Amino acid sequence: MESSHIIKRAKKGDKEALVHLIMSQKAEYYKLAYAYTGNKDDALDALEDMIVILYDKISSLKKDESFYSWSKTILANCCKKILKNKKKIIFMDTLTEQVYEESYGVKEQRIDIQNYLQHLNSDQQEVIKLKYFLDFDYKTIAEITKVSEGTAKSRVFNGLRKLKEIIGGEYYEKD
Amino acid sequence: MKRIEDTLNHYKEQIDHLEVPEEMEIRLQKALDQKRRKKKPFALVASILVVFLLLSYNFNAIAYYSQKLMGYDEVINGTLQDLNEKGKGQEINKSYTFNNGIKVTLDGIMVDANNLIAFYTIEAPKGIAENHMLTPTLYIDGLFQKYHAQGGQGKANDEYTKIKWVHEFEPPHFFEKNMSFNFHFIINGKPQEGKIDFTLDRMKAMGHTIKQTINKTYTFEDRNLKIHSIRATPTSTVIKASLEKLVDKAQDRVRDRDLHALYEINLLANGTEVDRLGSGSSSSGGDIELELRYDALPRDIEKLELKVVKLQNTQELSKKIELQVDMKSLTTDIMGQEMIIKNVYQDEGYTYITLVTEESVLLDDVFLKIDHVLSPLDEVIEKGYDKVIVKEENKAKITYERILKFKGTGKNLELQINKIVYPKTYNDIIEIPIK
Repeated sequence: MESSHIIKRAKKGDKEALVHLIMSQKAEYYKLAYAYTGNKDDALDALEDMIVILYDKISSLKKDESFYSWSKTILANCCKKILKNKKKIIFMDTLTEQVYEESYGVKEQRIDIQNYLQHLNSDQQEVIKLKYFLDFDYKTIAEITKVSEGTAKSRVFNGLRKLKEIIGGEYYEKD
Repeated sequence: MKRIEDTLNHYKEQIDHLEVPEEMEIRLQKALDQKRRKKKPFALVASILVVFLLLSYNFNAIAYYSQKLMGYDEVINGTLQDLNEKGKGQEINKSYTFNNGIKVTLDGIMVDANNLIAFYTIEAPKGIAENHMLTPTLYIDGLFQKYHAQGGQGKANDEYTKIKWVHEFEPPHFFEKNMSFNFHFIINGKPQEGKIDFTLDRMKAMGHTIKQTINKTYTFEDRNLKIHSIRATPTSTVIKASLEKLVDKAQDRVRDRDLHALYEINLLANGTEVDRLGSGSSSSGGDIELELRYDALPRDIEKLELKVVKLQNTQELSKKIELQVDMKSLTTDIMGQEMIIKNVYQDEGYTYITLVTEESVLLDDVFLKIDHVLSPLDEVIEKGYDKVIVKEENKAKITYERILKFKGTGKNLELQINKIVYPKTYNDIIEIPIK
């Protein structure tokens, strides 16, 4: 397979090969980062952080075929780190500047759902974004979030239940 | 459809229709390129200065070469000259000629545990008129990887037909033997590439004189500096360290600028400053990894110390400046840093203040009191950077100009600054234990 050859090259420190691997699934990577961060700038920042870590660690990747799930897990972690840092900032500066930046030009619908998601804990938010925004199956979600499939399912379930309490209306677990 | 799922699906559709930004590939490439040595903007400017103002810059240090290489005395001095005199290094003396007559000769290389240094000459019989001829793009190809140039200096003759260059590269891995020296030029608008093969002679490599781990952490107010290791070779001394990121992020900060890594750290050997060769920093999320490079250490080392002169840190303060609309420019001082308020104007319900500071100074927690009402900072508009030569100190500094925008207009204006991020002077000395 072509990609396994490129993964081998990337493992030897070939930067172009690594970029090629990511770009060959660019939409998947970008959407994943976007689902987490909710904006283009942070998504691209997270992708940058990810590729630097991949470059450092790829030589220790044992199974070549798990490159994509491994790298997506790293991307998810990079996104979480960015979100965490951001949270800190908004917390400390009670000024309005960040808030302006946040809400400016954002579509109504998105503010809605993102606002509701804020009420969930970060684990629940994460699985709901992966499940509903990106349509990932539980196996993939479990891989990315490093928990068992059962835990992932129960997080989705509990998250939806909580959303229901906040928004009202019906809910059920989508399979 | 159920309401929650509806809402979730609606957002999913938005994500599905997202277009991948065009710049994604370039940003990924850049992130990797910077991986090895992410130079601070100021370091970049400094290296350009080195190329063009070589004689005025006391750049005491790249290591160097075999039978004494002729003609490099003006390009190198200090350590390298000394090593050159002693015939350290490996002579190569191979050339490559482009079809327009430009000839590149790799005179020699010098290798130790910190660098590979290439000594080469570019000859252009018709003269090197254009800038791009001055600085070729370089790399050395090894078995599995490319070794990139990290910095260098050159000097042209008066006729501009010949330039002697000395360039540093990353040190080759222990298994490298057959390598090639590659260079790109833009000739008649087209990139052209040439290469010179050479065989590394390990017998000529110089290894290291001190190599030890330190692993000690020092605290500077709310930032930790961790010194990891030191490696001294006949050509240079490299100290690896990491610096904790600043917790705060200045309001006045423009995206994509990383000011966490600004620092000035000197190396003292037996109490005397060792020349700085440059430094690089990279960060992958957590701490900022620093690579501090200095000249080779003197022979008999009794005491080795690091002097932390400046480190970027935050400071709370309460600075109030009275302003008037359409006032003349005003120069003021904020924690010993010069701040120039260039102008103040009002337009369509907003008040705008143009101000200039050194690029490393950023403001946070900024308000404008307009007729006794506090207005928070609405937006920062970046105007740009400028290089200013400070004659008294004989050095250049980079200034940063921006416009602060506040909602509201009025007659009585007072700018209030409650926090700044700036290069704080410490002058603390850290002793490095040497065994």
